[in-house]
Amino acid sequence: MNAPFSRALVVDDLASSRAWLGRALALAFPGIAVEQAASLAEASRHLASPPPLALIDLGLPDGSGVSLIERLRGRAMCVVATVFDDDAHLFPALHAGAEGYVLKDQSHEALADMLRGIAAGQPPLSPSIARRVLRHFAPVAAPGAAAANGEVELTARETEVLRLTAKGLTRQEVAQLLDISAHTVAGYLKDVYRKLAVGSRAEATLEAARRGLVG
Amino acid sequence: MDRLLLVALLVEGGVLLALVAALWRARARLAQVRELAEAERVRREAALCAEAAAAERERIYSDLHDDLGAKLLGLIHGAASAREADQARALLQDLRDVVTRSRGTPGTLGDVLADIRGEAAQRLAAVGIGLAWQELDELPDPPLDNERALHLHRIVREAISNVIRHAQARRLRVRLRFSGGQLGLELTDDGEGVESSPGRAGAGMRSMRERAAELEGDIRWTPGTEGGTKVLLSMPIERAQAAA
Repeated sequence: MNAPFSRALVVDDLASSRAWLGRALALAFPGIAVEQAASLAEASRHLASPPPLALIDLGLPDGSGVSLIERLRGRAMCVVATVFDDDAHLFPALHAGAEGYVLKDQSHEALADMLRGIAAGQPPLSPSIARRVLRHFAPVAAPGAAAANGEVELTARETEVLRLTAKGLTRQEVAQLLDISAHTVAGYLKDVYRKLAVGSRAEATLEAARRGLVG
Repeated sequence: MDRLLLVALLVEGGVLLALVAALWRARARLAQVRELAEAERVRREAALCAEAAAAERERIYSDLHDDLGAKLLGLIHGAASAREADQARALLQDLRDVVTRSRGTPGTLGDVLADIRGEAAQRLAAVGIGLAWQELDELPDPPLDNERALHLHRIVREAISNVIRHAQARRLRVRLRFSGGQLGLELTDDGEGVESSPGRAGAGMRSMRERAAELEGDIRWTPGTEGGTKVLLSMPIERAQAAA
């Protein structure tokens, strides 16, 4: 995933946003070919051979971008491009398998930096989302309740990184406090993202089994 | 014969009594059922009301998101400079607050400060101003209701807007103190200072004063130790319920 991307898909209903994100992509990955879609329906035409990178807005005219992220999971790196970065908006998308998020109102330079960071396995995590993730993985009182998360649990180190991030500390400060490198902190956050999506997949399977969809 | 009649009467009386008792019980049960049904109806109506209110709120949010959010985004994308973009970005942040704070889970003082810090770092980085965030005392972590959280957010956001717009600063230092039940929040920039920025005493400052008053606190502006401006906010904070 470290290789620069040669193709990307931008899914956003605003033409000006698509152009803005396209410029940021060109800045982050020079020479990249950007495909565009204004709705889920248009995006589905690109799914036969999806580009390895997709920037997806959540509020699309014909539904939520979360469903697209679920469909692309494992086939493309999905990054949410949004106006609202609060945990209530973003958590479902991260849970569905998005590997990062960017704010559409950022400058091209800042966006390009973030996109390169996400591609290199350094996903951002705001304090409010870190808090939501901690609550999600918090051990439930009942024994055997871990199964609700698909038996995915956080390690002590991952929990510690999340706790400090939730307090508003920067990645460098977290690294300093835990006496590890900023790169290692990023690695823990990447693992947390992965576990979030794994939990979601397990829940989906569980739900399917409950509904009799899976024998 | 008389005895037989008496027995019959007694039996009949007993039957009658039993009947009356049964009737009485049935009526009581009926009243109970009615009461339960009434309670259920009230509960259902309240739930429907809450649901309708939530749906209405979601509709307003999605309108805000689609219309206002898109317009502000357009302004940011079309801005001539990074500083101009920041003004629209601060408005967008106000909108984010309305959309998220009013439905978010209420947090603690620490949660709110973490969010304020995250936002400040992001905005200042976008215009090339460094942020030094210093917590000088062990801060208490009591729950903070959404209204107070919003006031605190807005005061700091406005102060940072002023730094970005007027101060020509390179660095902003935020210091947090806690003593005598008072939280002290101090923002010091290394820009041009108060005198050279006559536009400062505007609506922004007035609104910051009002919000500080809502927090039962106090806000002051003084020349900063680093040549710029120092904004000092102090507000009472309960020590109760320290963080677990």
